[in-house]
Amino acid sequence: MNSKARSIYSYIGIFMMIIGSIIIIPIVTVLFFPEESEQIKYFALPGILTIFIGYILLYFNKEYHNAIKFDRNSLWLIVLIWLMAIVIASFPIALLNNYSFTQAIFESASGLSTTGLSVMDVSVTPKIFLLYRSELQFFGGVGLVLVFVSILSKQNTYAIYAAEGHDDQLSPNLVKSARRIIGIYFIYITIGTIFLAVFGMSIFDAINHSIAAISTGGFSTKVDSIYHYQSLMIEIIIIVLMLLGGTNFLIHHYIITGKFNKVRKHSELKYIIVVILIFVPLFALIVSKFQNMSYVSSFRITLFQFVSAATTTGFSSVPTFAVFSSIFLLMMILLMIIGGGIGSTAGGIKQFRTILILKSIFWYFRDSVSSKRLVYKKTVYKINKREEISDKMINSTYVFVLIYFSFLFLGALIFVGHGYTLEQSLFETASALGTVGLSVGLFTYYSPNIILWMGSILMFIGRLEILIVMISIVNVINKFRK
Amino acid sequence: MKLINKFFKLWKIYAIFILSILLSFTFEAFSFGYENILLLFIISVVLVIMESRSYIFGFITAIVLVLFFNFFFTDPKYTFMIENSKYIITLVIFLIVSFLISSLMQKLHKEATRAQEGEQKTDALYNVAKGLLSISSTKRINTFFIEIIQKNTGFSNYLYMDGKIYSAYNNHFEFSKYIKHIEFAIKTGSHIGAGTSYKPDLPFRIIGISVITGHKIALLVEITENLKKYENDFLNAIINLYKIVMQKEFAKADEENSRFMAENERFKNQILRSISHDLRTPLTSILTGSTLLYNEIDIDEETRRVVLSEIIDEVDSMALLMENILQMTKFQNEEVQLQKTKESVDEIVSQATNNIKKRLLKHKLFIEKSDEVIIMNIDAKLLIQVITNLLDNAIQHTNEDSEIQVQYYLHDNKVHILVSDNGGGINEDDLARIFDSDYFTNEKKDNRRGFGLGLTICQAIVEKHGGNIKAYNNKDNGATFDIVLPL
Repeated sequence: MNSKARSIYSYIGIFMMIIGSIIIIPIVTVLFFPEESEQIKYFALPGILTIFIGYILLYFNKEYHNAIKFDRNSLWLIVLIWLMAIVIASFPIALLNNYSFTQAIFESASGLSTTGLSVMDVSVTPKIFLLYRSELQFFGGVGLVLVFVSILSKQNTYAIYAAEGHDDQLSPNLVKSARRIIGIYFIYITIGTIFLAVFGMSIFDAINHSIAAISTGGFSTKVDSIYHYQSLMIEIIIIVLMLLGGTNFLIHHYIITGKFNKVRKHSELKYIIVVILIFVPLFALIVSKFQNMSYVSSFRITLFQFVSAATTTGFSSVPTFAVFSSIFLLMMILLMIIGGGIGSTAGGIKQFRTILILKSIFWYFRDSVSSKRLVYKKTVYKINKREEISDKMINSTYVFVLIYFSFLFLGALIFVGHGYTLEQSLFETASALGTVGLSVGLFTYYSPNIILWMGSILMFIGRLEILIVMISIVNVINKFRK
Repeated sequence: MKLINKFFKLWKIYAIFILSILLSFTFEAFSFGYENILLLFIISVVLVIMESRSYIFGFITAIVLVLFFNFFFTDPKYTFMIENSKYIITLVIFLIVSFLISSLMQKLHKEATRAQEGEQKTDALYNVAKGLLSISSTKRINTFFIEIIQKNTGFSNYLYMDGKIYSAYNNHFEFSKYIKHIEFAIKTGSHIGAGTSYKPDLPFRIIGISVITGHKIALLVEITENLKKYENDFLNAIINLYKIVMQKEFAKADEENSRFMAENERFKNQILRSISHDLRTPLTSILTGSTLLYNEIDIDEETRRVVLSEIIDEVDSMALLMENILQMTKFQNEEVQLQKTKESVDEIVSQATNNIKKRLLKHKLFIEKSDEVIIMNIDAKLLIQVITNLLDNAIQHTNEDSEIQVQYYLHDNKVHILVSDNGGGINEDDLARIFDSDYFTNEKKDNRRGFGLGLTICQAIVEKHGGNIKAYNNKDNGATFDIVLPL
């Protein structure tokens, strides 16, 4: 067996040990809720077995660990690991009698991709499972790779990190950065939990919602999500947490260290501000007219929903979307497609790319009307510097967006084929592909398997930044050709 | 403290333990059957052995898990008694299997370690060979050799070569008390001392290394415990490599030596040639003059004085030549040490010009002094010799009434001393080679005789001071010699 293969096994071994540990963590819930001790077995079995198998794999391939360098060619390994993560993480749920393998995969994919669509009836789900789902969103959001990097300081991990779709320049020492990111998130989650608990949530619910909000996941312990609480303060806290989660890692670092100047000009921040200050009031007006509500209530609803969509979290402060006008839904779809900040836990095309595209249109026209001898600089403000945009970057962004929309249409097509309206189909597909989690009710426990599988695939792709998937498929095909 | 640390280092084993136990309960919850739990426990035992690399741990784990199984899973539960006798057989078989696996794994592990060690040593040897073959100079080779041994075996060691001791960190080592043993080891070309049958109470093992007769080399290794076989092999292999490399080194040194001797031979011939050439003319002059004086009875006083003065000149000239030759040999053997003192350039120039005043005759000498007083740290005697030589050259190689100028100044932190003349200048072809020690012209062009060794000496002295000397033809006529010296 050649050393590259063995190196892969060693990485898979390590990864399996990590995922196994993630699976057994929720067992601590039983300390607080001893009545759920029967549920331990669903986590202990897959978790511990995975750890043991991972250990054995690692043990026999330890020497080859460094035989592989992570570069563009090993991106398919990322994809493989993600797939394995989803499958293995689905086991605890699959072991429950009332969920099929398809449904378990769906839930697992939804958790790890931080989507938040669910086929589980949370009113009857044991707390250990609820915590598990939130935990999956945390780890899926922050990235399995960060966990990887945190625990094992090894070289060659930068390429993985960048491959994962995170884009920031935190610090040259990647391990330190990784630990710091997780640290920052822990602090946010803790503070969030405290505030939520103070304002009316049970501690258990507070923990879960806080985690889900920061990870921009959206799994709730209540069937009707945030609407259940009907509390302005809770909604505000959740909004803040969602905004934090949907922001680039590096911005957090700068805010914490007080370097506000560096973040002021970040283009994505401008985007959010524009959305909040212009679009929310505008659409609140439409909502109040359409649904005969006071402007204040409309504003409150619009703000929450828009932030939830834009950050791709997926919490809902309304019982259903059926009562909303199509124009409102269309705006939501748009926000879901655009998505959150690049280098955060959010999904979608990402705000940075959207801004880039808009600017590129402007540049295109500017170039066509201006003198040929005049050369303009094409820049977009990225965090703390004007990033020069090359034509190659513009092209790759366009390609990305086109592929994104292709998948969007494909998904919508399948829904429409099952009899749903175009509006619902677009919404639900955008929600899955953008890993948002807002639902008009197309993904449920009773959905046919093909829809659930499609949903799982969309969520998986959405998380991993489509291009990587495309590149790895190309790589695999090339390998077969050889 | 150490024990506690060790305790915590075993956390992986505890983890395996706890997880296995947890899993066993899970198996029970899923009703997988007790046989499967036992099989799981076998896996646990193997995992513990894999992690701990010790079959003792494996065995302990086996026993503990057996008891655990007895207590928790066999009827009557929660007791150490067994109702169903078949479980006794099961447990015994379990223990035997665990023991077998433990021992097997232990054995495998030992072999793997041994193979790995062997591989490591081979790698080390390869690197050593690579290193040894790429460095030169006896000192560096010896130092490298010692460091390698230290690095790869952990033993501190010293190398004895022809009365000198080489050590890794330049520690001072009193080897005089071991000199007898060292010589014995070298004579017999064997290992003596620690770990051998001869004088095992010595703190070192002394290994005689025979390379070439005439060189006495021995290695002293501070062995604290008996050498393992692979360490012994390693040491021997390294010593053999060393022998090969040193053989090569000595051969090279010999070659250098022969070349040096040949060079010396050549130099000697040079000198002899130069002497015979340069002496021929003055001697002829002296012979002619003295013969004349001897033969002619009627010489007027003036003619007599003129002839005698010529003879004196030639003798002076020859004396100067001898002086130069002596200097040259000293320089060639690197025996010349500069005796630097603070001197005023003015003084030096004055002295030099005084030396040749007698020989000036019809030549005119101009001295252009610098406005500032320039003090330099130089060997006065040698520098005076240089300037004297240059002046002499100018006198010899230009027409009788030429003008000779000496000037000096300070420029750019360097002192320039120039000796120029307005004579016939130097042949362009000769300009580049006039400082070469084997150069001389055997033609007498425009009143020029060969330059002889004088210029070579000048260059050598000036360069030893850290400066340089240039010669060039003036724009109008004549030549200039420019001495440049750092302050």
